Amino acid sequence: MAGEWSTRVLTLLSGQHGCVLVASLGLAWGDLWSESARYDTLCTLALSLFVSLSCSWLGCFLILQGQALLGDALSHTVLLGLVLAALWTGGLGSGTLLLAAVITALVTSLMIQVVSRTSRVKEDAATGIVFTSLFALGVVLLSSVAPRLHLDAQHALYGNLEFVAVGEKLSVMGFSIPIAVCQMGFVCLVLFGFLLTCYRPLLVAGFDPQLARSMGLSVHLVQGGLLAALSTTVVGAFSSVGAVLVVGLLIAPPATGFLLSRRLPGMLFWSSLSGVLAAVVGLHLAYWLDVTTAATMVVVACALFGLAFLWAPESGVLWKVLRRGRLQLRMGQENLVRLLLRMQCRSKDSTPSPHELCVELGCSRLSLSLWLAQLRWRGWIAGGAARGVMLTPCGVEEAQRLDRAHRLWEAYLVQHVGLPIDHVHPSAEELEHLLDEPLLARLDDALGHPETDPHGAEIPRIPRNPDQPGRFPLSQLRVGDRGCLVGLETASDQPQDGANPNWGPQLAGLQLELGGGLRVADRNSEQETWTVQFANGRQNVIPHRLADLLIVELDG
Amino acid sequence: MIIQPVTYPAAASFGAEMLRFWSFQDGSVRTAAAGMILLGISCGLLGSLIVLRRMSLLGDSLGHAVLPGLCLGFIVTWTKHPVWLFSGALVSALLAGGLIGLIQRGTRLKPDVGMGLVLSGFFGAGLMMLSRIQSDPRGGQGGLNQFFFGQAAAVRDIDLLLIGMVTAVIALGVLALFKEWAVFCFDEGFAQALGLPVRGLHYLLVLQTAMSIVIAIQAVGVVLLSALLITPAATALLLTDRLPRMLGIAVAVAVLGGLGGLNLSSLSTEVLAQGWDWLGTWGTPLGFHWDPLPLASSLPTGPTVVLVLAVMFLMAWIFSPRYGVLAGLLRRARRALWPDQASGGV
Repeated sequence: MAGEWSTRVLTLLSGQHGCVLVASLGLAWGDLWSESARYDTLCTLALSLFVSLSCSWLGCFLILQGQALLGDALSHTVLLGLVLAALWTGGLGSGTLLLAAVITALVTSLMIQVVSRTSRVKEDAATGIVFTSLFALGVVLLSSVAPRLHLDAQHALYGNLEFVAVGEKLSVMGFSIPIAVCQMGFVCLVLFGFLLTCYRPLLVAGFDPQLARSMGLSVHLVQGGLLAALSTTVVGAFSSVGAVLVVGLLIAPPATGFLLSRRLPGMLFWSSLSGVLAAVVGLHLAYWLDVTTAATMVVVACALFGLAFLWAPESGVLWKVLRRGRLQLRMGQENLVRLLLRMQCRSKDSTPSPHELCVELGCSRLSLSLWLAQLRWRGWIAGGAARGVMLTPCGVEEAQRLDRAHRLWEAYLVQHVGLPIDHVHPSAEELEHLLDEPLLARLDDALGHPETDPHGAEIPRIPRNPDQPGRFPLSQLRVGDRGCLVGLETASDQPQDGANPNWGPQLAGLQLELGGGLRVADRNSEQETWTVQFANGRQNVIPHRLADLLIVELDG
Repeated sequence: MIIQPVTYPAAASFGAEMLRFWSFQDGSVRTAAAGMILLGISCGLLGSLIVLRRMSLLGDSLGHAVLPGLCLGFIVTWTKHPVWLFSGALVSALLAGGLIGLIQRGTRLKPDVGMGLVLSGFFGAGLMMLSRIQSDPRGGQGGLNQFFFGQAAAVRDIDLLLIGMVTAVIALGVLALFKEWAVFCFDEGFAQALGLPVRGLHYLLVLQTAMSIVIAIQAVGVVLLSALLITPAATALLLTDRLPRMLGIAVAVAVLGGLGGLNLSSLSTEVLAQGWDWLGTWGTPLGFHWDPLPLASSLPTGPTVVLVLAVMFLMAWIFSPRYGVLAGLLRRARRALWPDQASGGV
């Protein structure tokens, strides 16, 4: 048996004997749906579908209310209710059973509340104490009535889904259907009705109890209703799936839905879908592997959650790891480019060796070669490992952009946040990779287009428009720069800070001449003004806002 | 320890059986009792830390999660070889603890959802394996069923050795790092500010919990294991304000509960039947139909231990001098009657 099983698993793992696998699956399928077994299979399938659907709907609301493990507690204590009811009536009539289960569930949740409110024991510990005690009492009592109940404590743990077709039958419209299936179908239907009619209150009470209260909803009533629905479902599922596995069906599909959707209807949809999948796939897998059906269903449901955990769009762990890896890669490359620029500035002709680079960056040879390969592919560097690497003009531009981001952020932290100069470097080292161009433009503008950062290093300037590399706004020019006025920025491109006054009259007052030469004579960083010497001998003091508008083409 | 075969006349009276148990003359009773005392020490110590950290449900999920590891450990030799079972269960519990942490950090789900997922997923996988094992001729008589609710009589000397070693490690771990645990459990932010490795301590706690759970399986069973961790600690929490005393009380409660439960589960079926009879005379007027049935076996140890512990918790909850319900009522009554002296009351 075990040998055969392990061969099956091996075939599954190796994947080389696909035909054998398919044949074996086909045989299992054939057995399961053969003429003689079809009725049993149908009954089991119907029951598991009803159970998993009810659980996956209810679980959504439980998870949203932060009461995921209440299902765990209730599904255990229901046993005590069943045993007491059996002792009371001397048998297992379904009406008494249901009533007893509902009462036990309510009593359990009440006891948890009472213990955690009246003592310093917190709610999680109170839950643990109450449900283990009641379950233990149930197990001990059960040992005396077990033969009459046709229920032993172990089946209470994992149920007997397979033998549902053996039980009593009920005749519905000419079909004879096992009583358990009828009961669970009825529970499922009632639950559907309950959720449909109480959807709004449940939604509001689940997400925002304060709002619900202010809307005149009784949160206690809603929670009581949910509790009653939960205990009904649990008692229905109890004998077929078992106490522990009910928890799996109550939590796993809704958790999958939670990962796949941020809205309740979406969550309910995905939850039901994964519940149905778990039931169908679990049934067949269990038959194929010859193991307990209920357990297999739960394992499949958890596996579906695992898939969602890894692959869910946005929140999937794999995507997160991928995104983080790409960011790391980019950051490494960008640090390398900046380092290369720094080294080239230090000594023009010598090119750094890979070893030097590794030491400077504190990285391994492997990641260095990875970054270098990427940079070469992007066309930012030239030269080989043997001769050392050189930045291309494109790479220099990129490095300057990063330098600019780094130094602007440092200047911003010192001037506007008020950090001491020696504290700003680490933050800038990280943020230089994340600041985008519009934000940098705003930072630069807010700082009054400084020429140097707090450490005294020059902040590189970049042209307004990448297609016209020589053209800059007047505000970016340095003292002594020469050029000629080529145009006026349209106002819509300007960073909009509050009111945008009309600069027309002032511009007219300057009597500018398009194409006229100019030289920056002085700049006052306190008042943010630029003093410009024009070719015709006039000298003007131009304020910051106006300087942003004037586009100058530098000479040379 | 040398087991000397001692034969007793069939003792059908309650008193005789009690005497036989508490005199500890029977070798198997001695082994089981020693195991229970050791378990009480490890579970009492760790349970206090867990309850203070508000991680009570961790014990529950790890307890259920050991099942697949137990089954794998069983398959290795097809006997209940303690070392294989122990290592299988430990690996499985650690895997579960890691997965819980992963789910908690990787998603926006609340921690209890992750615990529930791991609990049911692992338990389901364990049940799948178990049903395979039981359909196998070699595994049918393995007695793996005992792992659900525990059977302290099944604890052998070699198990005892393992339990003793693990308990020593756990006790050493808790007592050697006592100050660190105190800071960590009461004020995690402060612990972080002191430069303690908070995450390391968390995972050390998970590891120790897993170890204490693994040694308790044989005696108490996987389903009700968490009670052995939580209930004594919660009882101690109601009785004292100081951590050292709490640890001591929790250990004492756990040991007492363990021995009491062991005593109950060691009662023979005849005495139990008498007990049911006696209960039946009380139950019949209340409408309970009670015709005592011949019991197939004595009670499983796990539930009886839990019941004894529950009774002790109930007593502490009601009668605790400072935090009990009764004391609270008295305090309120005194405040209502003599408002001016209210501040003097404790």
